[in-house]
Amino acid sequence: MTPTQRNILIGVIVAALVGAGLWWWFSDDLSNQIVIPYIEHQKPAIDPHLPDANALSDKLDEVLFEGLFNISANPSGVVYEDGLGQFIDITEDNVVIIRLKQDKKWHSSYNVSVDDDEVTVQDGSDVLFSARDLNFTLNRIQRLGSRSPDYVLVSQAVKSFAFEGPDNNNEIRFSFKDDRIWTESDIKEVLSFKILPHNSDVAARNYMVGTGPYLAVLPQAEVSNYYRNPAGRTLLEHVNLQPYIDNSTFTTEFKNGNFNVLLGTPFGSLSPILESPEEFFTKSNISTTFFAVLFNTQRLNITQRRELRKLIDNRKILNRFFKVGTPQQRHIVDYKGNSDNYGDYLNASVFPSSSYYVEEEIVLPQPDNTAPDLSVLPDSIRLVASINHGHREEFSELLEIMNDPAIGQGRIKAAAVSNDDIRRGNYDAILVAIDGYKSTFLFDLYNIFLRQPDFDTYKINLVTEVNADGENVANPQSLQAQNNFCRLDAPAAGPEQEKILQFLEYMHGFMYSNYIGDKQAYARYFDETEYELALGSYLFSLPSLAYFSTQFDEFSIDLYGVASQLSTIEKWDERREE
Amino acid sequence: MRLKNLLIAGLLIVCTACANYKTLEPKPEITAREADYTAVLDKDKNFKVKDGKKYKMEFPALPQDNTYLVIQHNRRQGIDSYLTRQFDDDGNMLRMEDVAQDFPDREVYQLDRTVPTFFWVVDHVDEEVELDIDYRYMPIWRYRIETRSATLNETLQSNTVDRTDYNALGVNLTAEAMSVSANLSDVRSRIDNLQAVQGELLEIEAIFPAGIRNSTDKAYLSYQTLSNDLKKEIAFQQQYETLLDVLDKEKQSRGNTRMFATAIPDFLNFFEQRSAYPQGAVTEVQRVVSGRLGEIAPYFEDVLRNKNDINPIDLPADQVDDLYRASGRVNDRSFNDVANFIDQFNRDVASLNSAKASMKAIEDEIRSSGSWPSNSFYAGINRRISQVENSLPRRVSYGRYSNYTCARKLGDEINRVRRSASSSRTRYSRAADVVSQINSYRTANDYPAIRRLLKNNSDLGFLITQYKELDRESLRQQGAEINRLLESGDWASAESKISSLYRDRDFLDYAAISREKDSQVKQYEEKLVQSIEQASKDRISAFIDANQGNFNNVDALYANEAFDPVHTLSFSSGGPNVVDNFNKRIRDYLNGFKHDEFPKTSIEKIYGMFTANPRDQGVEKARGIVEHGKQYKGDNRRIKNLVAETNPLIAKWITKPKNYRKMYALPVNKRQGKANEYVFRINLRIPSDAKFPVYDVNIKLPREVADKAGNQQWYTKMTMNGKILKNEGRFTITAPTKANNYECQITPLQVKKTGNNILEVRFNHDAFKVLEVSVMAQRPIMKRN
Repeated sequence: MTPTQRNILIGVIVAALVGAGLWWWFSDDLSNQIVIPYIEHQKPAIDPHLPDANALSDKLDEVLFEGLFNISANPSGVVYEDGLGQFIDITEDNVVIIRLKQDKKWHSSYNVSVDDDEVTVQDGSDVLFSARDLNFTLNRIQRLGSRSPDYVLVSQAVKSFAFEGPDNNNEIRFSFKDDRIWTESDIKEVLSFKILPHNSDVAARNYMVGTGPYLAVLPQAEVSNYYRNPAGRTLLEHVNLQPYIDNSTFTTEFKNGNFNVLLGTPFGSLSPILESPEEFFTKSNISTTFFAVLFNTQRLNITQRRELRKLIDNRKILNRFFKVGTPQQRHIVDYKGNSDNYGDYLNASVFPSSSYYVEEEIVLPQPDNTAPDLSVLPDSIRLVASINHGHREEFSELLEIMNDPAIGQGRIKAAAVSNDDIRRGNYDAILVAIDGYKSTFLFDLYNIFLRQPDFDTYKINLVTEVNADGENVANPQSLQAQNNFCRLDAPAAGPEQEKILQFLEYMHGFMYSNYIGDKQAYARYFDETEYELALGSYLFSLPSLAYFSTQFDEFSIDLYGVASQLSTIEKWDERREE
Repeated sequence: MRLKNLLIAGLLIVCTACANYKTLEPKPEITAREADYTAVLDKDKNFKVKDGKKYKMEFPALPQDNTYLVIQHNRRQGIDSYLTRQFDDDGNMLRMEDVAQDFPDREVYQLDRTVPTFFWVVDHVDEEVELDIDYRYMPIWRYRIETRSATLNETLQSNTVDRTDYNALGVNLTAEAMSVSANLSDVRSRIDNLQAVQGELLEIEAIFPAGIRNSTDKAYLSYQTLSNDLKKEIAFQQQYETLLDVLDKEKQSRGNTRMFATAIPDFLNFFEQRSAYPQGAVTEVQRVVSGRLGEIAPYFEDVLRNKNDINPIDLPADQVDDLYRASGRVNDRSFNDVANFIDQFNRDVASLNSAKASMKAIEDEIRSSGSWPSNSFYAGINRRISQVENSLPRRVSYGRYSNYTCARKLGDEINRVRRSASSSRTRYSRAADVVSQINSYRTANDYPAIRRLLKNNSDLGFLITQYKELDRESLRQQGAEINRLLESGDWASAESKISSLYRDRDFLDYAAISREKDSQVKQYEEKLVQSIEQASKDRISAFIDANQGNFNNVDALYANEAFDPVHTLSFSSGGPNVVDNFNKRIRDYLNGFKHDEFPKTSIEKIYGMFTANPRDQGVEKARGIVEHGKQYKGDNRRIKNLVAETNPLIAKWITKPKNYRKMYALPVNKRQGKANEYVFRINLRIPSDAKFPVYDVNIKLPREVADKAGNQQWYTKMTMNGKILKNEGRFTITAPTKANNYECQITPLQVKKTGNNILEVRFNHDAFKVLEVSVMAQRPIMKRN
């Protein structure tokens, strides 16, 4: 080795040591933490009783709040655990007796301070859970009506949104309906809605005080932090949300250790850079996002919409999206163990193929594979999307695909536009991502058709009234041209009005009904009506794939089926060296 | 004590002093016995009575009846006195009758034994006087004799008749010279007077005491003498009166033979007593009577000449004949002629009347002989008619009296009766033949032939009358036949006979019998329908008793003739509507058993046996119930439910959620095989607020069925409203396992909100028995995940 060579070698070694030192110095210590990325300008709004377009919002419900009973899981499946209540008995006449836990403290009982990421939690004045909180919560759910999945779940079981008690044993009594034998599991399922303190704002944007496994720490800079509830059994101290501009760097940042939980990868696919099993492990569950192209009914008539639906070949788009058959193919796995089963994610209905309604054949979508009649279509169809409100990677890819003449046959002009353009309805069709959809009974149609066409906010424009028969029905004002992506205008007279009113009726019937049979029937009717109206093309769902750092004990994290990814977060633990 | 007695005596004295009537207490006391007059004394003196005072005196009663108390005193007119049975110091007393009559110094009262003591009461005294009173108890008869004998003797003496004329008649005194009428009147007057005395004596005799007749009582002996004298005088005067009477009648009838003839019995009466009279008187009467007998024959002939009828002659020819002899005169020829005519006429009339009476008796006998005479009846009648003919006078001739109207008419009548008898004999001979034939027909119950025979001999009216019961007998005979047929249960023949009777017009007197016949037809019709009804009821009752609860070959049970009437009526005098109504009524009644009572009771009984031990021929019993149930048309919901429970093809309603309903699964293959096909059905009719209800259906299966579910599908087919349910897609049929207590769940099962939702489950099982399953449906719930 020449001196020059030796000096170079030493230099390299020094540089490596320096680099390593710098990396160590500047890299975050994520021990005892669960760090999850989020889109900075899409801060999660936490409301345990309402769904949100931001999937993370609903997932955080599990972090902050508890119900009388909590749905959790173990390796064998779902389990019900006592939350704020303890099941005592159910009488022959279906009176359910629940003992309220008197020692449960609201998070506001603690004084939390943060100093250089050091969180100090001190006891403050005890604010204990009481029946009053439960009563407040029930009243709120009842007021929310069909907008809240909890309303449907609770109203199917109880005779009224009220209870008797508490008595001297702090026991309360719910009168359950007489039309079935209520098992303990059924009762706990029904009473698993999250409970808010009675002094909460009924219509708050965010609810931060709960009794759940983590309590909210006031945001530090752009970070929303949560700390272990001292009264709980949570194993890890911190849950922190790490802000990013978009999801394009998620995999790199994750690989770099800037967070240790990636709840969803771009494209829902496996990442080539996260293949090392020594560093990462994955867990899949059912899809919670699908992409759709919604048609502007103010600019396209029903004939044009039907032909446009034919024009949009979601299988071709899917294959292009995942680069199927190319060296750059995006590989996927699902929670059932299947891999690269792209076709399973194709949707032929507003009800995604993963949903209970398609899965169980309540809805039988019939894909129309006939060739589109381009003559009825405008020369140019303006298809827009906002790439600044999540899924930048996916939207960018999809816009490019749509612009491909092989896909759009030269008629589709796809473009990323501002939120203003979308608010104004300046589009023939709009590409949207429906995040956080549930494949259960509680699939949310309002989120698709009643959402205010404004990605900066989240508003469901449901107006209800009681008709002459005493039934709760949707008012046509719920659908006005400026308050939904499809620009449906139910009050406006026109050839489609009757169908649109029927569409609204079925949508509300589906969302409001607390009978399975009704729900199923309305699902069929709604699907058929939507198909006739040709309001969109529902492309495909995105696989749900979460990456975890091997910092965690893989076996402490149970993700199951259709449950929220964070529903067992209090049980997560770090890997222990044997 | 002494002081006390003195006190009581004092009180009595005071009380006595206060009484209104003063008591006269004779010394010696009044003695009640038959005696002579006894003075009433106050010791040795007479009682003194004062004006304004009142008195009483006690007279004891005698122990025998028919006694007088005679009170004789000097002041009968100066005091007001009387005898009473009951004394009252206030003066309210009943006075006994004083029968003293013509004796002003006496009071006479008839005593009896009604009271032990009588009270002689003085209510008023005119002035103070001294009473000279005697009293006497004496029998009434004695009192009367003593007071009447003198008067009666005097009457006897004054009415005794002078015997001079009596003894002189026919001796030196002729009837013409005698004042017959005056003497007769005088004698009769005397007889009346004497008989009045005799009557009074008989009244006294009636109250003689028992032992008086042989006594020497003076009063009695006086009575006897008077009585005997009186009887002798009356007897003589009556004998004298008879003599005078016949002499007077002869004298009065001179110139009036009819009157003389009328007195003939009196003359004969006298002559019968001739021995009692003096011979002169008898001879004188014979003289005057015999002088009149020549007038009789002309008188008789004159009467007969004017007689226009054939009644017996009512002239005393025999008495005249006797009078000839009694008066000593030989009969005149003219009298003998007319007497013979009268005798012959009357004998012929008697024969004629006897013949007529015989004929009438024969006719009466025929009329009263009743129906159905024997063969010998009219032969006997004819013999008696021959006797009647023979009893009639053969030749009628009355000599010179033949032209008398009565004689001529009598002859005519005799001839007419003879001809009539002959004619009757001829007709009765024919009747004898007819009766003989009738009796022959009757033996054969051939009433129509009898009617024909009688109609052919309708001139023999007596026969028609005699056989007036024939129509009724015909009815009776037909009725008896109908009854026999009814009793033997030959309803068709009975009905045919009733129908024939209804149409039958072949009667001797249809008009007379028609009402009775129609009434009888109705009675038999009624009896027929009652018999049919009763027999049908008895038959069905017996059938039901024998077959109730029978579950084998049920179809054959309902095909049994017991469910039909024993006879279906085809005739009624009331017309087809009555027939139809009855047939409908009886059929409705039997159908009531066929479609209500029998299946109902059978179902109840079999179901009881079925539930008590379903393993013992349970399938057969269940099928029996179902078969009975097919016949049941009642509205008893419980019975229908029992049928439904045992019929696996009838869906069992489930109307309430979450309640397990037990039901039977039964094989539907006819006979037991290696794999028997079982079925059960439920009908989900649970009210729901849901517009499109959906249920979880849980079926608890018998272990023996579910045990094999691990190796092969336990059911062969499940359908919902005919649509096959498959374990695919959203639809789940969970397997029954030991872990889930052999419960199969079908979910979610979409049902129609209204109407039937028939879930049918079919499965195979090697056993051929009754299996129990429990089915529950409840609403599924939505879950969060």
